[in-house]
Amino acid sequence: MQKIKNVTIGIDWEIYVNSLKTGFSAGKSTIKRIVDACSYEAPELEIGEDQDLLEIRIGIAKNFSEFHDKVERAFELCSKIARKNNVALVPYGYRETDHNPAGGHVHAGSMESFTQIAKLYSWSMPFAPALIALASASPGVDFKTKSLRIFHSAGRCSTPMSELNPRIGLPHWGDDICVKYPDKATLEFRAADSQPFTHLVEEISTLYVGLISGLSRRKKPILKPDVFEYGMNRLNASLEGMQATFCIEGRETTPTEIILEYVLPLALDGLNEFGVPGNHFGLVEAMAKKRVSPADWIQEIIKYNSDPWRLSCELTRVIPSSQTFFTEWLKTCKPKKTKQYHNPDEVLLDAIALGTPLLNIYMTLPLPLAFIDKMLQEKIREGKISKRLGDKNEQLFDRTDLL
Amino acid sequence: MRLSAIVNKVKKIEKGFFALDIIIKNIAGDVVEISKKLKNKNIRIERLFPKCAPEPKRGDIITLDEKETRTALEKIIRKIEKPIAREGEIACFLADINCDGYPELFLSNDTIELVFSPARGGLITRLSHKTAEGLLGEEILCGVEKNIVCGISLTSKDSGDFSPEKLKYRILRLKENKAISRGKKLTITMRAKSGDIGVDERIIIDPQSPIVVLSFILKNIVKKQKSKKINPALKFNLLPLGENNHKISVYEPSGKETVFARLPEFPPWLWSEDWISYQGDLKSAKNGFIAFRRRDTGEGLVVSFDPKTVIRPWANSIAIMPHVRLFAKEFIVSKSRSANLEFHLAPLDNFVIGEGCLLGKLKSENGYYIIVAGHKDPKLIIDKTDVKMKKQGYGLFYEKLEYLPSGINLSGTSLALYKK
Repeated sequence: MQKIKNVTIGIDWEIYVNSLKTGFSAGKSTIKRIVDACSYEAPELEIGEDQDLLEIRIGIAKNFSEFHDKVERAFELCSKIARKNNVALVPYGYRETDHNPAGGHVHAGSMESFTQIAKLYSWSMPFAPALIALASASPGVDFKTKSLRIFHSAGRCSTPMSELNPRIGLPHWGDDICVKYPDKATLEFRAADSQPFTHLVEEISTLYVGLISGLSRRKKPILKPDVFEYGMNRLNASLEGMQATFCIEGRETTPTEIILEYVLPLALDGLNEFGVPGNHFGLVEAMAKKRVSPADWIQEIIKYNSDPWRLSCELTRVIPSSQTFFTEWLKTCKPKKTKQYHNPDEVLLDAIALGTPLLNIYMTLPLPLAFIDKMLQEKIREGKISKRLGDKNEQLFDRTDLL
Repeated sequence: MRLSAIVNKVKKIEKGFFALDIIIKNIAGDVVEISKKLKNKNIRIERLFPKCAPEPKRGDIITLDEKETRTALEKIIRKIEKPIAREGEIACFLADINCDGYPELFLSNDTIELVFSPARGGLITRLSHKTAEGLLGEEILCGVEKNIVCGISLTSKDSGDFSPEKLKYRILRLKENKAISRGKKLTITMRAKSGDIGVDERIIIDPQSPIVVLSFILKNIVKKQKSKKINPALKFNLLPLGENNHKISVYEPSGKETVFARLPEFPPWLWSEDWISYQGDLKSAKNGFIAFRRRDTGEGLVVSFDPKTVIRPWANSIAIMPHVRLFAKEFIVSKSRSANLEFHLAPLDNFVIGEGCLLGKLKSENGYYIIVAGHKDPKLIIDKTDVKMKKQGYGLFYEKLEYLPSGINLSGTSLALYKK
């Protein structure tokens, strides 16, 4: 493998802008006003907007000090201008009132060849679900998911990965880990939810970049990429976050094990020259050891009532207040227990009614398409679903218990 | 609908439990502005706050959840009892039935009830048997998503400034707020204006029929000669957000059922339904009707229309909020030409459908209504005797029976209803 010589980092941190009068979206014109004001004051920070979201981009950072400085300055500037406009920045992963996902994308660079990037894409696949679990910050109000954003594949903006042949493969835009070559020469992690605080953004972003850099220093993959295992682990990560059970190389494991035994050491090795301070990954370690993520903290806030409107408003009140509430909660919360492995059967049957088109099933389920095809064939053999052709020769599926 | 408020006073009752005096400022998740009857009203709520978040303080914003909102509304606005219509009577009542600060129009005969919200574009929020839940909950509080509220309403496709869903209707010629009329049909007209277009929504209810006539008359009301093309549609939003998504089905006259499937999440920028239109069309062209059913209770609704006017019934069964639209042909509304769109609706307890026809029933105070759709000249076959039916609308027929026989067949088809 070709080692990444100059490690660089970039982010696209998507943030909701909520009105302090209502607790909901302040609207595009307000976001544009904030973006224009920030661009005027600090154009180098590349603050923009995207689909009713504010987006902090910061450009490329070549070392940790530059990265940290840019993230902190950008967020502080946006917060200051938001306060002047009587709105608040509320970063988390999914606003259920209007089904708007917000991501915390990270670009790891800089790549020098397609072969290098394609190999890193494949080698990073087994680790992606653990990072999804760690970065989960969009619990559903029904308490069934920790990353509702990834469960819905972020509205097709973070879709399951598939195999990529370095010799002949064609990358696909929008994968959880997405090849951005040659236009950007980066490998972009799109599956992270937008994090509520700058410290979390910095740790999770550098963790991912370090992982990619660390993998590039190896001669062969650390864990064998398997698209079916990855698919199931991705589903489990979106449902249970850090309490998920995974299956990697045929054996049961957890996101905690993957992060502490593989991801962290690889990241520390990969960030050797990047300049991260000692004990930089304090929050990541603490979350991994206690098997929690920001989603668990948000669930604590909503546990007395599950209502998307109340949640949106409550997070508008809570998140901008202080980062210390999260860190204090992390210090004092009890470690959570690992949950049972979720079989994809449950979600597959839930996605099918009568005459459900194949396209709908593909779009609904957070699983690779080949995986879905395989499961559909199994369910047809078991007699739980049946397949037929529609009027326009489209494939339709019926659940036999609903017939 | 949810109430949004500002915290005025905070009182800690015990650890994590607070009493908050709040001032209502806004409403969220609805298509209307906050009513003057609710704005700036003070109420007290009690809530648990977790220790992992800051304690509430004066000036904080707060949004009441569904239960808190209902409780608050009933504290502020006194709930009013609905009038009861007996056999041969029609009750007509304009009052704030759900305490949202806006009056609703309540109509009923001895069998069915309807509720309209004039403030919400003439939205029908209830149409069912008097004692049944039906397909629609009456409360506006349920089913909000991207400010779309559950109900039946006139909508329009790509018509510039013509936005029927945003209209505020006024009721014309309602002599008294509360009326019981005896023996005769009642026609209520609601009027609103959208750009150059005046809209009259007319409701006709008969004391002796389970069928409601809903008609829309769209006319150009400006003085200058100016014609306008519009594409109106009647929209059915029946499934509140979060409800079991296998709960509602829509039926074509052939008997084909489309179940509103588990909601997938589309990215917000693809919420225009047209991009998936290849699979949305319902085949009802010649027959002029479609039907809905709640799969858990069997309750249904049949909608009949002129197939020459309503040319494209269409179901979006895989949206976040699945719905059906009955698209009418393009109308040109000018100084001398108006557009007329008429629908006949009837709630049903149960029905069978197929072969281009529907045979359904609805329990009444003193018997049962049998309703047929899609048949040219239907006869009910009961104990080998033919029973002719009364026609109402383009293709809806009904007949009242004193008792429900063990089996009713529909002439010329294999459709039959049996007593359980």
